[in-house]
Amino acid sequence: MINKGFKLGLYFILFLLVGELLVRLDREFDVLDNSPKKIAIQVDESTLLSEVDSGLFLPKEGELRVMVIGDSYIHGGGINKKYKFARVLDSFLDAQAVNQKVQVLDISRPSNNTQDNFNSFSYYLPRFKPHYVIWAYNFNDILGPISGIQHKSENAQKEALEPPKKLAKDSKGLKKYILKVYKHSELIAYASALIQKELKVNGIVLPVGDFYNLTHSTYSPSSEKWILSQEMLREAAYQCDSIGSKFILYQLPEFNLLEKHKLFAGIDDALKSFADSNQSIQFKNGYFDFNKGKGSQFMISKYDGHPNESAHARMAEVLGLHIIKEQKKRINN
Amino acid sequence: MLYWFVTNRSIKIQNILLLIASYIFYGWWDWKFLSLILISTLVDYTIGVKLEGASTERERKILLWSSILINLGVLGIFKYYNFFVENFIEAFTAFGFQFNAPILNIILPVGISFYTFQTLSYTIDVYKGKLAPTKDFIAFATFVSFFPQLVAGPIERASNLLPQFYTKRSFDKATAVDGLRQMLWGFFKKMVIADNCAYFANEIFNNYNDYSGSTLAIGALMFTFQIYGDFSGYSDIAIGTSRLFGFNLMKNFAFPYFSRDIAEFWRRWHISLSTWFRDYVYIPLGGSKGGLSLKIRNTFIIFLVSGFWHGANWTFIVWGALNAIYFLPVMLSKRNRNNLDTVALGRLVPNFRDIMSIVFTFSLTVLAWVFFRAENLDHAFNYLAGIFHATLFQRPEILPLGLFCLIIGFVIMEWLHRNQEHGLQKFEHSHRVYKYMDLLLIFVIVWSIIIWNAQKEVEFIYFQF
Repeated sequence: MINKGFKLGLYFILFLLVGELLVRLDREFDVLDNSPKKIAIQVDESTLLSEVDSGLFLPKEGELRVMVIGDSYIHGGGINKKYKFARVLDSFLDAQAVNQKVQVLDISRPSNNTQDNFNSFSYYLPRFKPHYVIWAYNFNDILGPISGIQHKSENAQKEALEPPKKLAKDSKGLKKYILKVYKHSELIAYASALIQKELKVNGIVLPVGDFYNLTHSTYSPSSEKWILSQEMLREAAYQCDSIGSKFILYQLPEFNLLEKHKLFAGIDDALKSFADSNQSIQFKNGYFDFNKGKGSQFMISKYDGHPNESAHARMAEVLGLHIIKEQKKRINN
Repeated sequence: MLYWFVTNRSIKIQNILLLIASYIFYGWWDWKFLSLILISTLVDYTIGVKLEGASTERERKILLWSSILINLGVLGIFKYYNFFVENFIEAFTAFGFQFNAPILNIILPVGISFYTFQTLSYTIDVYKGKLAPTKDFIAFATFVSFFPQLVAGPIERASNLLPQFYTKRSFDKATAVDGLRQMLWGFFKKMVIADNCAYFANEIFNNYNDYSGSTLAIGALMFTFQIYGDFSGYSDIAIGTSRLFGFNLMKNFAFPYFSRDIAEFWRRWHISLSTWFRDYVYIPLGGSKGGLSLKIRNTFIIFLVSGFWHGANWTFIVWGALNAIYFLPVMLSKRNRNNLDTVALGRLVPNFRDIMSIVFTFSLTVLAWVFFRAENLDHAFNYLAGIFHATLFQRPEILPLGLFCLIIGFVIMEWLHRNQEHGLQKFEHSHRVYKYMDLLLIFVIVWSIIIWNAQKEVEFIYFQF
């Protein structure tokens, strides 16, 4: 009996070791790296963008210019480029705005965070002089290197990238080895991420990991990243205001978690109270454009938050109508 | 547990349990379409009983044709009606006539082609006297709707599967373990090979204008492994699941990509459908006996019908015709039964001649799959033109090296098991080292499925047929 139990135990350890080895192999060589999920997020460079980049673009009277900023969510990651937000918005406004040439400049880029978006914004605003800036804000835009408007020293940046140092407690005996295995095992990290991903789609978040931190502490009033992000958004809105542009801050929902949106309550509150305190910002929480009907209608995959073609179409319609309404107000004034 | 330990005292109760499970399984997708299975079951059960009592040949023929017309009629309405109407409208318009007919807004019931052919085989076999009609309605209903193979085969013959519902089934550990291994191999084929290949195949086929000839060739190769991993993976899961319940289903794939000629390929690919057409269409038409024109006609009929069975689209018909063109020279030169054995049996590596034959046959099938995957004929021809372009020799834009490594591992596994029932069947070795290596292999397969499964849910391709 003991022999059998011992054998089973050994088999189990062997099973885990094989898993550890394969996970490490996957991490080292990124076995399925060249996947179309990444290919599909190729940057779609428009002729308009090339014109603006090369300085050939001259803003004209009677044009309606809209600039779109954000990451792969608004850029159309994973969908056919003809259905992406900027193109649909262009067609929508073209059909609505009579006697006006519509120019939609898409400067969104996959993997952009708030810092990247702000840098792009600062570069393109004087060159394109948009009437409307749509800043599609993703809840994870706060991650990655954020240095704010004034660049900080390299050391400070490095510090911001590194996780907070923890004081190591002295452990002894078996516990010490278990902790060591836990700390160094790629398999445990992988399994934990896998479990958390599965739990997340079911609306459960364990009090560990990036997602938990994002939804619970990164948007707290004392969070440096959030303070710097607000600073940049405020500055962007101010710059828009100074040239007579409207700054629309559109909060993107996580499209695979539309039915579990309560997970984002803290982020919703933080963004809303920030936007309420700034009159130059027209804030829209995108979740309310999608909270009716089935969430699965708007997602690409249940494990991925990117919007699908229908979601892009709806966002284009909602924001297009908002712009048309604003345009009418402008004309009346 | 319920099946083996609670209902095991009575075959009838076990069959009822399987029937309920099968109906729940099918109804889960859309309960309304359960009525189609019920109609098919009732019609063929009744006709089977009546055939036994029919006194004249005329009466028997009427009964047989009633079954054929009802079964193929339902299939025709759901699967082919719109195709015919659209093509009639197009043809009439081309000749300057107006032809109006309504287009039906219906969806294709999952697996309809599979269970329709399965019930038809029963009636035809009863008509031919090869099989006694069953009086056990529950057994017959379970045979028609048996959940492991209901939606994508193998298309079972009544003579093989139906009698298994009458006899007592006893749990055999070795069979169950091998069934689990076959299921595991099926999951690996589907979730790791097919689904990952699907990402690339879809991207490349959908945007073929953006890519070079070399990338398009990779796209065709990806679809070749996608369809094999997908369909044979489902068959492995179905056969393995059935073995857990004590049933033996027929082999549906016998490592077809190691075939040395196209005739061998068709003896190894979707065996249950190929043999169905051979027994119920090709041989009644005269088979390969008779004159040259009859042989050519019969070959084309069987391949065109086989193509059309897959879907109401000209792409499938051209795919069938292309296979007929591949097959004819082999058959007419009487070399179609040259390669009946397993390639390089008893050797680890095939000889040069075998390698060349395998590569040639494989390349022909890769080209044919382009028609199978394409949305329409234009798409297929443009795709092929894109492959045979100067850019065929340029570095491909998409080169999934990691996936290639997985595919190579998969092909090696299949090669080593090419004389076995499935790619994960245990080798009979008494040495302890083999035992541990086998265990290690199982662990690697399990972890590969966990780590390298494609994240997005991809449906089995053959469900749509």
